[in-house]
Amino acid sequence: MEILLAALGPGLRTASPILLAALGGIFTQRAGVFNIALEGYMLVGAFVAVVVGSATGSVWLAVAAAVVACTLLALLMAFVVLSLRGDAVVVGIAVNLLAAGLTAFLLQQITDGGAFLRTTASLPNVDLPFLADIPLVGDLLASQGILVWVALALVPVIAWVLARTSLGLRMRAVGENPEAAVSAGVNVLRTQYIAFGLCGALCALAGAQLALGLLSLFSINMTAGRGIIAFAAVIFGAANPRWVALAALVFGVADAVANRMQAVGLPVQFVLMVPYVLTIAVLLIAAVPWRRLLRLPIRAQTGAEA
Amino acid sequence: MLEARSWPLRNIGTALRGPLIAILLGFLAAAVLILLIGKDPLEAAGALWRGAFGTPNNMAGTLALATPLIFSALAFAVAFRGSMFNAGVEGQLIIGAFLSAYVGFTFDGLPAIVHLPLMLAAGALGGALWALLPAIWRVGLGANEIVTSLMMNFIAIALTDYLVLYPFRLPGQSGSAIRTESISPSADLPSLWPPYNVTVALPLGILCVVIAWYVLRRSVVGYEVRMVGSAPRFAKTAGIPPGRHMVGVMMVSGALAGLGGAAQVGGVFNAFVSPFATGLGFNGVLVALLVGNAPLGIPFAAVFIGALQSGAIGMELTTSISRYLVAALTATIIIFVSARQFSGRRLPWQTVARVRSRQPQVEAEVPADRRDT
Repeated sequence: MEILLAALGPGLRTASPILLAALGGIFTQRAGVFNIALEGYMLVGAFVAVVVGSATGSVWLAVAAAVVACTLLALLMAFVVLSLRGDAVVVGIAVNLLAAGLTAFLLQQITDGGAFLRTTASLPNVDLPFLADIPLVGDLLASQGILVWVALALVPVIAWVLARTSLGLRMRAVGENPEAAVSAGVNVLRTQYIAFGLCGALCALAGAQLALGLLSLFSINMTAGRGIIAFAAVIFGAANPRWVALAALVFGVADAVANRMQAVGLPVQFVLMVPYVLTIAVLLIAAVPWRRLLRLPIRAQTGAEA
Repeated sequence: MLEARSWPLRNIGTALRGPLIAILLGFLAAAVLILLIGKDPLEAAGALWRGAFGTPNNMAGTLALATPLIFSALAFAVAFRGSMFNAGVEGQLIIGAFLSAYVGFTFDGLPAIVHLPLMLAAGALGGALWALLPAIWRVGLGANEIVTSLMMNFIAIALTDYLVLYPFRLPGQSGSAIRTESISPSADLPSLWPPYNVTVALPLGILCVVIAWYVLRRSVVGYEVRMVGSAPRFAKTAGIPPGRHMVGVMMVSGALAGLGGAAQVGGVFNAFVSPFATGLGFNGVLVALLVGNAPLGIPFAAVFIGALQSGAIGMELTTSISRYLVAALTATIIIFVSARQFSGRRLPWQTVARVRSRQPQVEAEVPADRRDT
């Protein structure tokens, strides 16, 4: 319990990149594409942020450059998947490999064979003084990196965009019933391209948060599966922003707990499994035909509450 | 007309055109990148070639790297032919490797003629069981096998990490690479080309490829599996049980992946090591895709990717161009290969139908008793 409470503040920090990437993944998932390339986008975002940050010293230029680079990468993948009809999962695997290979290659060219690149540019912390008054956890929460607050603020914003705006409506229509969307006059391809672009931009923030907010460096393959965990959070939360955010926070806290346990020499592997086991469990529980098993009346399936 | 179409060399020119264009474009992109950093692409290509085939040592390295890729690529291709997207080859390979290592170091004093097949069988069994779970979840509940098998990879990695670090740790080790105790010599895969790591696993992999091709192309079961894969509704109407074939094909796929893991244990590491096989499964997927999941093409594609990986090490040593360039090159080739636009025009809305088929499917397998009401 003590470990869990002590992991809450660090948990929010470790969860923030996962949360940002998962929020991006919501858009592509809602637009009907399995996007496992969150990992690759994040890695490119982290790399560009550190390189631009160390070259210019400006953290804002670094974040902006990461957003531009990742949006372009995501749109490139969208072109292959949507316009050239590549399989999304296959292209996703390839994009992850491309990101890992290209960033490592460029890093070694820049640093003459080194394994990491440091930068002094780092994202500022923002104190929210009223949070410090909350008993027990207030001190742990009050001072966080700016992108942590951005990530948390984006959860209701994205929920609103999906539920209330015409873009969100079109996106859900394209994902749930593309034929109907076409006949209603929705430009399916354009909507999916927009989803990819937004996903890339949010994954860039995720990479920047990881590299500039938490570590102040880039190292080879530094995302180390966080993008896959973000994808798991999207599946876990059925692409619903609130549930996805909850999943990302749980997975982040699990990560922080694992770090603590490792420090005292406990086996961490079963904690590291948590995101994947939970995601499979949620998928299976959702797939069980409960209504039939419990002999409840069968309702028409709308699929809208996905 | 099955006989005429199944002749393996027919249409080989058309089949090769897409991958060859993709490989050419990939190399061009890499050459541009090398030019941009101020190095000579031709010199790099020469170094790459010598690193892959220049000396007997390098050539053996290429074959040793290609061997596990044959198994993991065949694993992916077999599942794909039966309409299952096995994103869990990596995990199945790792579980198979651990189980084969366990059999390898636990049983001592068996004759090699018993111990070797036992070790390989253990690997195949481990992989098949790890693949069984996503398969029955898919068939029984309609849970998407891409997601579940992908997640199972990371569970496999964490589970075997735990086993190597705690219950089966060889005492007196530190550092990042941890291993179990060594397998007994009777479970050691014999080398075909001493002293190199080119073991009997290579011809075994090629044998598996030929068997897979024969079964898929010429046998009744293979015909049914392909029918379930290419025309599931027609297969169902024709009285072929899709569920049973999907589970079966997934278990065969997992068994092949597990054999690949056993080949690594018996031929390369002589123990289970952690981290194991980083990327072997995913690289296998790339190998299979390079030849459009055609079994007979897999050994060639595996040697190609193995040569790139082996050559990259030589290239890094002689030209100081980072070996990671080759990973980016491989990825670029696969992106070009998967761009189907090369092979015919499609209507824009067909994109939609295809993308949609990758969605989480909850109602794909409606139980028969429920459908009638």
